[in-house]
Amino acid sequence: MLFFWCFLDIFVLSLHINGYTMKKAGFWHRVFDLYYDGFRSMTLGKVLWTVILIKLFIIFVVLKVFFFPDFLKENAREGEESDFVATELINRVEELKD
Amino acid sequence: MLNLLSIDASMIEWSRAQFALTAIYHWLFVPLTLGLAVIMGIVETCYYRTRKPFWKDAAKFWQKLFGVNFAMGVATGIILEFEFGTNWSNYSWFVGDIFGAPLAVEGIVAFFMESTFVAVMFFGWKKVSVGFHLASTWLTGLGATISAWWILVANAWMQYPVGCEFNPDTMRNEMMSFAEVALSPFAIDKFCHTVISAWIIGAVFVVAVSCWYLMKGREKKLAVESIKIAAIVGLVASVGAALTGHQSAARVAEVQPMKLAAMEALYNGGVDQSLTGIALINPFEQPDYEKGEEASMKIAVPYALSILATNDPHGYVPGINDILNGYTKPDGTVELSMDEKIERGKKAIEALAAYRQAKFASSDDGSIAASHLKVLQENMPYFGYGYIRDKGELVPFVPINFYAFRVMVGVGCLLILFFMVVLFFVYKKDITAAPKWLHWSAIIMVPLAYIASESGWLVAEFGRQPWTIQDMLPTCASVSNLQSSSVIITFFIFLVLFTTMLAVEINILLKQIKKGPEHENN
Ligand code: HEM
Repeated sequence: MLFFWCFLDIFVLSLHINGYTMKKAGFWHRVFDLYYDGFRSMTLGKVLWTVILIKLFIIFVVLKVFFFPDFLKENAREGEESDFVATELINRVEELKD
Repeated sequence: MLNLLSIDASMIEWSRAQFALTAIYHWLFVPLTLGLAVIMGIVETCYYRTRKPFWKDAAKFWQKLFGVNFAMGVATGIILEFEFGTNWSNYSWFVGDIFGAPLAVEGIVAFFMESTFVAVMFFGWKKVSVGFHLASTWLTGLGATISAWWILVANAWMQYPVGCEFNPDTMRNEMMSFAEVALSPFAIDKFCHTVISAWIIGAVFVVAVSCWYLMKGREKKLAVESIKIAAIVGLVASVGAALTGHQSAARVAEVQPMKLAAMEALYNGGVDQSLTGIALINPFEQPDYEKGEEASMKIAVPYALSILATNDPHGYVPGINDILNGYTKPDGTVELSMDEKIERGKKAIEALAAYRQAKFASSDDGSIAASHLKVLQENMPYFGYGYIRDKGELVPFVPINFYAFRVMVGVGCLLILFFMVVLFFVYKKDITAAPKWLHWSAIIMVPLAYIASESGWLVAEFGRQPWTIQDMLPTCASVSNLQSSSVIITFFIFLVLFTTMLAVEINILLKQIKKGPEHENN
């Protein structure tokens, strides 16, 4: 599925880049050129990418690893998550009474 | 950590607060993305049709601000998914199958549509044809809107769970009909109202930035032409928000009558119900609805609530007490009292426990398990009620629902008026010479429109309480058995992080607005 989308994307893109500014260049080169030139001549984009990267680092490295472990992975045995959740949901009625 | 004897009530509240904080923060970026996408699409269409360099500069300018907002919003939604896995693990497991499909489609489509078309939009001005560039700009907006569709489908399912069946072996809800989930009437109404209201945010933002330029005596042409477009989008969207909002309210009346009763502070219902315009309710306390006394200083529109809920001025609308005590609908069907529902919920949970025990016991030939399964299935629609200790827990906090609904609708009406006045000035008078108050009011409308939009979510989510999934699973059962201290710590980390990120975003955005458009084409 992923490959299909990826291929379709690049194919559609190529049809349109094709025959425009880079008539003679190859298909992959034209796609590469779009991104390469784009990234190289960014101005505001550089600031935004810096912010995005810092943000992604905080989200995926700091928050995910240290503060947001997968509760079921940590507490239930692999393949027995349904038993774990069943026990949690059945016992919760009693726990709430306390 | 798991051996706590009881669930800590403050942990539930902190987990909810943390989720609300993240969702509110995430929602600062989404509506502006959806709204600006429409306006920059129209501006670029003007360029496509006229080929005048002015329109190209204008399109690039709004795309730049779109880019800043887009970059700042990227991945803020992922944090919500982390919270599902950590704080709401029971819930995540319970819904897995239903959420998995829409969110997977969303992830794939959004990633490829957005990464390709956003890249063409920003990098492709000199590389692709004008037509393809225009298509990419519109497709960027369409991609974001399609993403919103899937998220809203998931949210709508929590308000009105359809198209699924609970499997007691896997402890998950399994999707029976993708179409029923993806095209549920609740999801369609939610999508229309949410997306249209997001266009208002885009329109207000563009009008405000343009009015700021007019106040500074800069970029007059860009400002006037942008206002002409944005004010039309804004007026159409504001009227559209009122119409789709009306439809949403009618849907809420149908499937979440308690939410409607809380929104209206309607304690005892009946026929010929009036719609409360404004009334005085203590904002900090749950009202004594059992007494059934009407809120003070109430100004109401006669019959309007009956019309809204039933399309009939004499239609029956149940109040909080009716819903708690059970009532008969006009079509003769009887809605059980909450005490009866709680009883049946308890039966369902007991049957689930007994079924699972029998299922895994070697002595059972299957007949005992089957009999428990039958009881479970009969009572499954009330499963969540089994966790409710007191029927008062089933009443959402009335003041928040009541005031948030009025803020949203009030600002919605104000926005219609505002865009009409702006249109009058921009088309019939000279908006560059308009009185200062008009320019200022445009700027003030930005936070107001945001407040309306966030209030909409408060109504939708607070009104659903105590449920995470209506009737199926309350928040107290959805939450993971964590220590409240760890949730409190992450709440404050988020508060600091989000405030810093927001300050950075606003700073970059304001700098870009101050800098203005680049006139490379003139
Ligand atoms: C003018 C009349 C309006 C009416 C009658 C109205 C009605 C409603 C109702 C009944 C809901 C709750 C739906 C649910 O719980 O499923 C809702 C939610 C919402 N509203 Fe409004 N609304 C109006 C205006 C606005 C405006 C002006 C905005 C934003 C600028 C807005 C943004 C939202 C949002 C973001 C939600 C949450 C998403 C949803 O549940 O659809 N609304 N609205």
